[in-house]
Amino acid sequence: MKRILILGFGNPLRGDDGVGWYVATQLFERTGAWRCDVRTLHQLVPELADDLARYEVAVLIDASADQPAGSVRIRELGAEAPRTEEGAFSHHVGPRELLTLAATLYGHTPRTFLCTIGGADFGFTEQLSPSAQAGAQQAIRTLQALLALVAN
Amino acid sequence: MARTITIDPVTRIEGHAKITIQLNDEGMVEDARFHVTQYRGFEKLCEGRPFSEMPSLMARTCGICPVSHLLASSKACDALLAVRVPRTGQLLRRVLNLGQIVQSHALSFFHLSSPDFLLGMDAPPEKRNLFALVETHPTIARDGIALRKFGQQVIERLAGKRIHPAWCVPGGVSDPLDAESRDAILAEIPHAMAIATRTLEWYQKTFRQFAEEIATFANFPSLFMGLVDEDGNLEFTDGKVRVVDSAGNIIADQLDIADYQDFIGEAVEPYSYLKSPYYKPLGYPDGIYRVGPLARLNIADRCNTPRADEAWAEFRELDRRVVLSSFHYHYARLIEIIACLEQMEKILRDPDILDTHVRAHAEPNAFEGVGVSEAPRGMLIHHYRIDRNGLITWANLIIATGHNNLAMNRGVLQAAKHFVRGEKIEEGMLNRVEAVIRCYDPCLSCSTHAIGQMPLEVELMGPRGEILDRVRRD
Repeated sequence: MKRILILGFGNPLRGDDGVGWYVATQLFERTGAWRCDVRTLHQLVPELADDLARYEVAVLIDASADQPAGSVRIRELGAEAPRTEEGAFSHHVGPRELLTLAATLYGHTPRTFLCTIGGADFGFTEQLSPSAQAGAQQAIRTLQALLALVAN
Repeated sequence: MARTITIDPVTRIEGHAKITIQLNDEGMVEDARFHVTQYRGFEKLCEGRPFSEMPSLMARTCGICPVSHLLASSKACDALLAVRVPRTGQLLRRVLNLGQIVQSHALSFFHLSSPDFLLGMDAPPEKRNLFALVETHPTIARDGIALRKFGQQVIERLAGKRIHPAWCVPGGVSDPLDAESRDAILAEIPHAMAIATRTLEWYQKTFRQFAEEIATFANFPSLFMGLVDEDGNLEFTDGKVRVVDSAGNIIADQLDIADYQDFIGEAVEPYSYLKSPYYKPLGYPDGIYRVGPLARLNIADRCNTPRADEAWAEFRELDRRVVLSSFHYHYARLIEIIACLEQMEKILRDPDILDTHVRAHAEPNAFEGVGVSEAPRGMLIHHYRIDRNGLITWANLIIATGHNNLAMNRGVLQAAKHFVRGEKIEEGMLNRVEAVIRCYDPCLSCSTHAIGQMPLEVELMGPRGEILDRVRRD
């Protein structure tokens, strides 16, 4: 059984930006006997590279303001050259940068999947919009099936 | 023809700011200013809220130093309650603050500033960032991550989460420390100390190569202000205010923060949202002072822990009286990390540290309260007034970056006069003007800026505001 890290990130005080937290915690509760850890945080930070390098599989879950509300995209992040599209950080990093840090500094990257869910409302609320909620349910089901395939 | 150079935004700082440099008809620098262009308004938005909400509300001021605001706010609320925080509650608050300072200093030194030291001030931004550092100096990069992670984990173990914890409350802390968490932190201190020690040793061997920067990065006489304990030792969490002049003379000592308005004035300039505090007895702007790591090491008689004291003594040898160059903020941060780790270990080995009496309870007993702590960047003051229902009627915050505002402006001018030459704008020249600001590690908000990716725009403007030339770095 592979060690799995589920990382949900975003700001749960800003409506659908918290969908990553919701999906991560819900998914974790459904992972049963798998060797799973879950983390929820506002943003990806450089220190996570050290943690990430200790796992075989990682799922990063985030809200997206760019894709249609309620839509779900899951893609595997491969080992790529360092990219700085999210900024060569001061105190936060993007998913690919995190992988690059893990590979360069700690010599290992887990098989990593990035799941993004389109949000509709990023206002001052702790509630998910109906479309984000629907997207979250779809993401949970799909990720559960995905982890079943890659966990062993 | 007179021209203005604008650096907008300033990168690798926390928040939004820009620098303008005014050239005269001969193309020489005549004036330079550091503008804070964002407005937060926390003092106004908290009006009408119950005072008990203030620590959590004020922690939202910043994602980098929420613990500092949490502490200063809780202490202002302690004053409203007029209670004495139980000793263990005081000790636990100290450990929280020390963890905060370690993680923040690690972020500033390793992530934000070390690319300048290691990759060269003249290197282009795409080759002077942390990813380049990871490739060329992986041990330094790993050390930075490990030290920051250590500080974050101290906060998480004490307060439950790393960012915006709500554990520090009026009257003390909400929960005692358990033995498992204490032992886990104690077990990690030796590794953190090893990192801090080897980084300091490396820095002590290398910093002199930046002689020109040391001489010109905000290297001028000013006052220094911060907290010391009753014996004059380095103090991060409690204590009283000491003011030292540029000759090393103590001109005020053991000042009660409740009386801060007697010795700190707050000026406002039209070009910036950041206030310009000054030492009142000397007036504005002569009362310019600096706070933060450099100031703390300048005002203290000693650190009062062995390793830090050894490093502090060597640091103070840099100058006969006090260390004046703001470039040495970096050096001071490394010494303070060691001091924090030593203090943390000492406190965690205190026999009372697991005591469960960690909070005093009371209703408000005063209508006005002031709290202070040493944030990583310097002294942080929270001042509240409440009505009979405990609702906030007025609040005033003086953050560390504000205390340093006059000094940052003067430092930018000094560096610009030295490095900016006429009409030709070179990358290294602007990097150095920016790097002066970075010495102070200003924290303007929880906003994040990037390296290289963020545009750096330089505009040459004529006397009527027309843009004569523009250089943009994407």
